[in-house]
Amino acid sequence: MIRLALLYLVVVVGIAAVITGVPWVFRGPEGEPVQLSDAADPMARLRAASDGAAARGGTANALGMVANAGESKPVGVGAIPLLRPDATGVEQTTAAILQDLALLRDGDPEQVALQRMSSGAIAALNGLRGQTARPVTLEGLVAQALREGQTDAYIDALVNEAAGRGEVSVPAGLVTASGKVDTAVLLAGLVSAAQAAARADLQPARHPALTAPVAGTESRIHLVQEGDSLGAIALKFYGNMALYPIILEANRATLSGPDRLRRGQELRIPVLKQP
Amino acid sequence: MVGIVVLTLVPISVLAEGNRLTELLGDLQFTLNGQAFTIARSPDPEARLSDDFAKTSRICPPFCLQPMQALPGVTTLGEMEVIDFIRGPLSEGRGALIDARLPEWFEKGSIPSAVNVPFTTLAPENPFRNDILVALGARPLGGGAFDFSNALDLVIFCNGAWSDQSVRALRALQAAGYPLDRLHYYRGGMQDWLMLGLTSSRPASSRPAAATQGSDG
Repeated sequence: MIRLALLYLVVVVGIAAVITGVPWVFRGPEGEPVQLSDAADPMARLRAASDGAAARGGTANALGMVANAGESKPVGVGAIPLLRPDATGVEQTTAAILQDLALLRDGDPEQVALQRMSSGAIAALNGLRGQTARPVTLEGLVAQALREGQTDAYIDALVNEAAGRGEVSVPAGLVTASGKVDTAVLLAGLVSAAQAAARADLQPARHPALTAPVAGTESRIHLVQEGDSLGAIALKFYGNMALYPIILEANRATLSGPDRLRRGQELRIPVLKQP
Repeated sequence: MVGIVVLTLVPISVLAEGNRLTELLGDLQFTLNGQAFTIARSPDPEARLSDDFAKTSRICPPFCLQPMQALPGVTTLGEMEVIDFIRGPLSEGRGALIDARLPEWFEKGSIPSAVNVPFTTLAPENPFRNDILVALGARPLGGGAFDFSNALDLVIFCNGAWSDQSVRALRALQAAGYPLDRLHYYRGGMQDWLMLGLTSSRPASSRPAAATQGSDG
């Protein structure tokens, strides 16, 4: 099952590589060298991975999920989304979804336990009031939609509707300057994390703590645009949305929280260096 | 008419073995969301505590004694007040009986109709803490703000006076803004519940075929 899903992924990412052109190589699960796109512009690469797949079923297809869904339905977006407590990272969300889809084997056991206990508690509390069984977290909602092969547009509407009604909480790093949940960056992050998980299956484990970059002294300026989320900006400049706390920290004076972006705001984007 | 109402509200079923909760109340049978529950005292006058709850001297820390008053403003309950809570707010859809222990303890047996909300899930370190507040009836106002005016009345318990898990859950709810007058502390917890021979429930999946009541030998 996992092998099949990974095979799908490799094929789809391979197509994306042809689209973006520049080659780099990793060995697919079947042992064949596979040409993939360059990491020079990760945003373009990830968008290509997810856009290229969109015609054939979007992220669900890219992740090897069965595509059998109907068209997405337009849904109105509610008020400000329900946010998670401070310092809740986006990478926990992608890891949890991939684990749910059996595309990631080992997660952080503490996070896995917290999600399992929380989902159980929420389902049981909802049951007290006779509410029907449905996914009770952002992670559960997205994983189920991907399993059903829903389109990216459908997932965007689904997530924004649930978050707008306060039914599921979202990491602040995924909230755009206009108060929407940036599902495009979440779904692109899923594809990217699934690739990383696929590579990790084939290579000795690296220790992220030893290689995690930190902010250098130089920086660039980014002008916040409509639709920007901090996760998207981190993905654009660093190729990794999980690094958004670096940008948040560098702009503490003018940015009180990851969900507080304003259009036209100037953000200092530190150039990364290895510690 | 009144007699019928009293009978349904205060079910007095005479057990063959003759044990009762109080002189007026034989046992408590109630239905919650379509599921039937019974709370009674064991009919076996020789029943004794066994296994985990027979221990007397667990080492502190972490098993430290808890005060009668968990937090100023939070009411502490005994068994009959817990039963009153079940008959009142819980049955009327305004309350929840919260087992704040970790799932492996909950699986071994809890108070019938209790919901497992482990104390760790109420801490701000849990990414899903706010989702749980919504499930407890808090109305999300966007971001991390809530309107708690329709939040559930909660009775929180753990393993009893030697465990700090209820108190940690209560403190976490207080820090999240939960109104203190909606919070209640059943300090006796599973230790006192079982010591009094009261019915303990287990999820159907983990229940062994043999009966669990009474002494084994």
